Amino acid sequence: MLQAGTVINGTYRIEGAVGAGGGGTVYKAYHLRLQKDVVVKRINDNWVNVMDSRKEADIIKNLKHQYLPQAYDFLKIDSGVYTVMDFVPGASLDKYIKKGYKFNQQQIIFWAKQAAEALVYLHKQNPPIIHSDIKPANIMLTPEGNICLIDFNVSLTSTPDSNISATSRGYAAPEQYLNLVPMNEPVPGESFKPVYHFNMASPLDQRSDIYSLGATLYHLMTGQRPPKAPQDKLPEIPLDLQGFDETLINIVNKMTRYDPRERYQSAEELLKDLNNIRRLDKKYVSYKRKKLIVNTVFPIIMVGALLLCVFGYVTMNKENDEKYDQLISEAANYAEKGDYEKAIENYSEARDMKSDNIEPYYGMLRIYSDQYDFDKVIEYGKDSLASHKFEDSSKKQRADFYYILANAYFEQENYDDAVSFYTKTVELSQDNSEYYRDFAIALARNKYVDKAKEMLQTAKELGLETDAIDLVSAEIAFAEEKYDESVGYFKDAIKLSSNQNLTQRACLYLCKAYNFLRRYDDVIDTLKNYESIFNSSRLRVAKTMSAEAYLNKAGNTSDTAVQKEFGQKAADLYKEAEALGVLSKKAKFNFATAYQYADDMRNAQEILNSMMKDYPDDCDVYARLAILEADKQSKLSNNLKNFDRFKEYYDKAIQLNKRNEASGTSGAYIDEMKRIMQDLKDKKWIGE
Amino acid sequence: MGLGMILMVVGIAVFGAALIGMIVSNIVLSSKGKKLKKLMHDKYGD
Repeated sequence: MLQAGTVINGTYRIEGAVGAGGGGTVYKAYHLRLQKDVVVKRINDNWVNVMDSRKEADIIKNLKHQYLPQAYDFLKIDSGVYTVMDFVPGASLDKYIKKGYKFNQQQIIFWAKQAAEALVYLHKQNPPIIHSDIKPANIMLTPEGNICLIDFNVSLTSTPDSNISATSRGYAAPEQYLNLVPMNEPVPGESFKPVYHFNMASPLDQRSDIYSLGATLYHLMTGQRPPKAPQDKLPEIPLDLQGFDETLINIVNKMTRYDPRERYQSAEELLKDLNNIRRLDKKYVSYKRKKLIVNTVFPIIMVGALLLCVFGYVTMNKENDEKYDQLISEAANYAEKGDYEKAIENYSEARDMKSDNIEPYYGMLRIYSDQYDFDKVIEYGKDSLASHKFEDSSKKQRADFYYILANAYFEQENYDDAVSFYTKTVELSQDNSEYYRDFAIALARNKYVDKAKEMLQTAKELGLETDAIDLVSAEIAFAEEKYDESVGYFKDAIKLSSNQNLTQRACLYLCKAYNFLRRYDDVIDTLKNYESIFNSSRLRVAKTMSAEAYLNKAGNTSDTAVQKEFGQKAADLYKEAEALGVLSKKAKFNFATAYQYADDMRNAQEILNSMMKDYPDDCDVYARLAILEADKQSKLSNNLKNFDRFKEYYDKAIQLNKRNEASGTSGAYIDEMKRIMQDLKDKKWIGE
Repeated sequence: MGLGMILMVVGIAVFGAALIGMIVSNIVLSSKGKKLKKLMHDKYGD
């Protein structure tokens, strides 16, 4: 027993005894050099003989951890062996237990982590250091609230030849004492502290420390000391222990499994679970699972939905393409059968689906063209070109489109625009002889004879048929005013051709050539013979031409009876032409003249009155009315003649003609009207 | 309305529903998470 005031080794002054443990008496001392409190512990003599204290001392002196006391020295003094370690202020946990202190979960987890950290440190040493005596008495609680794992005097290295263990019953792992051979026997009269010899077959390892720590936690949580008898297994902490969660209970129960193989296999493993204890909580696990499900399932659904959208989009495009093709195909069928309304409906729907595709627009132009509504062709064609470029369409498709437009301008006798569009047509497609044929005809009509001949040559090289060659040659000859020559070509073209359109055009222009040659009977005969081949639009033109021929014949004879006959025939033809379509202004004037020749003044007047409404500012209408009025009055007896109305029409015509005179022109009937006026003045029917 | 349009509409609807569902679920979970955090702190400390 050391007395207070004793200085050991010239360094440590004993302050007094502070306790006694299974390993030895514990003294508080003062480190004279370091000037700090230390603990000097005499190791129990039973251990001295078997412990290689120097080797142990060096290992332990090198340990440095915040939850382990620093060991300063191992001293052999007289017959005793003393360890010198940090004095840890505070009290051991068992003192709190004895006072009946109840620990809460947060505290226990906090200390368990610290103890586990200390064990990780110890077990990582080389060789690993097994504390082997962890119990509440060996866990100090400092004033700062941290723990300190003390009493290393019996720490063992985990080597196969370790053969001493000190047991703190209940806290020691079963393998620490199950194969133990007692080393001491009780001495009568003295308190007995058994010392066992450990069987080498089951060496201690980290798991033993884990068990001991677990048993300590068991005591702190349950308030019950672990059973001391070796054969009594430590019961599991019930999961419904009040004040503690299953998570911690499960950890402690795992620490204290009887079979070391079922415990935590290392202090790191234990520390990991303690550090992640929240993650082991059922509520946390459930929350995490729900979060995972939400953030996995929903995105998967969203990706699936997106894929569905993409698939739907692809399918929709495919369906649109199929629907579009079907609409175009059906529209073409309807057009072929003459059901133009349905065809236009289909083309319109197709156009709305794919507004940049040229097919529906071309289809519509074809329909208007087939109906000879060339105004509509031009209007629709121009609007389409103004709003669409049709760049994705093939050259052939665009060439066909321009070709139809060119033909429409041609039919309207607008040869300038026709040439312009034929030019665009052949720029896009150079292998169609018909394009060059019609281009040549348009050029000829526009008096570009040399260019027309060039186009004819190109058409021949592309294999143009003989009837078409004759037609173009006829047009060129006509343009050159070689009317006899053109008549021959036109007749050949008509004879050879099986193309109705070509035959119609050849017939009409043949009659024009006859007109120029004043062969009016040929005009009338030709048009009568080929009347059946004309479509309604061209039939109107043919009837108008026949009527003109009769008018010319009437004008070429002075026989009033013949005039009357021809006039009536002309009037009948104009009437038939009017039934087929609107007459031009010139045709209407001729119509009135025809009735005049036929001595039908009433109908002639009616036509001219109607023209007065349609053309209120046209001087020719009033001039023609004046002429008719003069003719009517001339047929009356002198006493009934009245030229007042003639004068009225005359004045109006002269007034309206002033506009023409300003631009250097004059109405077609003004001169005739003036001649009549002069004649009437000469005859004194009208004053100066 | 062809099959393609139906698929697209269904796809958009499902996408929208899933998006809304995910947002709402995350809002609810976030609120629960805050409560859970407090509970964990109360149970296990820092």
